[in-house]
Amino acid sequence: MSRYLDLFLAEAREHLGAVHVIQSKLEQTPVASGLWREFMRHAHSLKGMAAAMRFGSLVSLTHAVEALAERLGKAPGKTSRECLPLLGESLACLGNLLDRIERGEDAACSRAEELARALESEAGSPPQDPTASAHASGLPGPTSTVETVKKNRYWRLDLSLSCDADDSAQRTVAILGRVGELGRVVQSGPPAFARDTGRFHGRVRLILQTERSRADLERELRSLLGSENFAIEMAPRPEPRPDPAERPADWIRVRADRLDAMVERLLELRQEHARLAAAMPPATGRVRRHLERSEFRLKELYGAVLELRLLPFDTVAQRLHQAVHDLAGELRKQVHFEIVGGEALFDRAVLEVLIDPLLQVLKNAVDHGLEPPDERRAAGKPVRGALSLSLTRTGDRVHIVIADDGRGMRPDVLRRAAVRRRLLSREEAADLTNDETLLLTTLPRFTTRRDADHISGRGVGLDVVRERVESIGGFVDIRSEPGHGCELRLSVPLRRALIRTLLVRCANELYAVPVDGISKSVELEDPCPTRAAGETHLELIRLRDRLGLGSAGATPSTRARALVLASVEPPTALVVDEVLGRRDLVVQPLLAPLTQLHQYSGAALLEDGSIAVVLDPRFLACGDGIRRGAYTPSCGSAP
Amino acid sequence: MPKAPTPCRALLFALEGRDYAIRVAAVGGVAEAGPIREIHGAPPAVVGLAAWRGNVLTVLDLPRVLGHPPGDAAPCLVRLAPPLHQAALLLTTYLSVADVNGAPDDFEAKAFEGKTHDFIVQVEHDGSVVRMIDPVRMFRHIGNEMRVRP
Repeated sequence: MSRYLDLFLAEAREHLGAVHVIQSKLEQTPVASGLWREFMRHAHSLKGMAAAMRFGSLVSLTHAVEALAERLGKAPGKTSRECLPLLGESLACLGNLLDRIERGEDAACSRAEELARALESEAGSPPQDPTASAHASGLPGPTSTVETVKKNRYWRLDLSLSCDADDSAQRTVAILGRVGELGRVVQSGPPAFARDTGRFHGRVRLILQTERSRADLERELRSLLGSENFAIEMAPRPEPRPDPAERPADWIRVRADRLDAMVERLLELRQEHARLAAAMPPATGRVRRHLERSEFRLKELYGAVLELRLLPFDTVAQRLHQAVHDLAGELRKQVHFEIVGGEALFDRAVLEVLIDPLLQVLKNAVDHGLEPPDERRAAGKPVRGALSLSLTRTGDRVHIVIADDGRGMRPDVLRRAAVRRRLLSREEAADLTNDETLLLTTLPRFTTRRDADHISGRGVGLDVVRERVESIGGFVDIRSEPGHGCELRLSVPLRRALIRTLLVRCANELYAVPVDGISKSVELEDPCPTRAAGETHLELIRLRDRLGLGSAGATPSTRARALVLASVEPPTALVVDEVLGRRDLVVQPLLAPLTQLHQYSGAALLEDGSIAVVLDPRFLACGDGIRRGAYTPSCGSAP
Repeated sequence: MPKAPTPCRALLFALEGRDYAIRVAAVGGVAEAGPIREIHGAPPAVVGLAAWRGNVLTVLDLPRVLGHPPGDAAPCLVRLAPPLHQAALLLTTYLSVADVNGAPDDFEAKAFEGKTHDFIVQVEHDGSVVRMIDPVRMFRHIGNEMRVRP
């Protein structure tokens, strides 16, 4: 039996994590019958596994949870919301039972039996007529899940693009990105591999779902493609593809260290292949095709293996929910905690490093940030404190923001504490901006508290958070407004990403710029002006000046190139000495203290062993205040 | 009862007549230093980036961090073990391996000649004092310096 215990615990926690996520969704929409059915399925799976392992209390409680979820799934109504606290307490009890099983303690639990009886009592209540309950409570009745398309139409776009230039694939990517802003691209061709291996015949066909009219689309495409040909015609609604998530999946477990070793070997194999191709004389015909196909297959294989390491953030959601729930209960505070964007995928190693720092930050927020109910009432705030963890992805990074609407941090208090602890002199503390002062909380042993407590400790917290985050190439930032709450922002790399970049040279050094940060490149006739000549107004940033590279490699007669940055307002271009071409690079995150240099987002090895530093073009353009805006290219070529 | 000194295997080197050590368990490998790519804007202690078997390592100028001029031997890279396996130390001094005594499990802050380093502790080798460096704390120290005084 003990052979299967690890497997049981791992799978049980996955199911429990899933129901925690569903529970937080049910708090928003308690009458969503689909969610209740999903809840029931997970409970049913957990019950079966517990029965196989003969954990009686676990079986009783999960059976009762399943029964109630099944009743509510068939007939959700007013009592759905009323049952949530009881279910929440039952899930917490299930988590505690799993912890006890893991520690080898007795899995029998009287509390579990009490909760099971309470759940059965609820489940045994006669099901309410959903229509009647809806009229009585004002809640909406059961909703249909059938999507009604009101104004959206489907258009088939046939785009003919020039494929003679070396950068035709990048231009295709940029054009597809722009077309994607006009609606939803339902289908596209050719498939990516054809473009990557050079089997690109200049035609891109798309099915676009959009509310825009034909005239509107024609106008947009004309400005996007210039003189190149395109055709638009109305298309029938495409056949819906089966949702892969609905198909039952077979799972196997793989040792993480073996997967990591496979990734390392594949990385070396890719680099050896690149060195082989570079060392050979220029290949033609069949040899060239075989080299291209083998390069593509290696890239595909590497990407597929990297994907194996990815896990959705939701796999750790249960631990976070439980920690917040338990601590709020202990402190007699009311907290509404939600996770937004939990479907974001993380490299397994990154997720393992993040979980403890996130737990610490959430505990800090509940303990120090959110006020007790009386204090919140006196401050005119809702009694229930708001705490959220949101995840958004841009390129190869995920941005995590933990926000609360509590007391916030006071820079003056932090400055005094730093001086009292002799971290800074009075003059140095006065010189810091408010944002810099907030970051003092990430220094070791920094605390404004004179006493420790068992919850958030003696100033041990955010320094470890920062250290852990920086160890994986991430960085931490804090924003706060006294009386209104606090935001802790983490930016971490998803993984060792395979990023499509444009390789450039500046001051005799190699840099790589992610293609999705560029809308096009233009050539400057005169490298000296601060603005580019031509119809479009462009602000120019000289990379040489921005990074402090000096005058190495600069010649007055150089026809410099400028990379026009995507989604930056006002339109801005980065001036470099030379554009060397497209490269797909495995970007490795930088290590602290280099993570504090936000103009760099990583580094990559080229096939000849040289290193290209990967730039963050938006930070170069905008600094800490990243501006967003629409960009309309009017001249030049796509990168 | 005082804790008996714990012998441990360490990489030893000397700078300006002072002996230093890093625990072998904290070292991932030693190799001749190749080209190092400079990072503009990095603190002076960071030399740049170096390639190592498909990885890009951040290279720290260890003599500079310790307040010494570089040595006169051929430059070598000491790659660190996890969790700092993406980092390496640049040394231009001769290295040896030996057992040292007195390395505690948990390093404490020590002061040397008016400089406060919270990543060095005194150990003993052949009757002489050796300064043992904890690389994790050293990187943290550099990061904190950069953060408080940007």
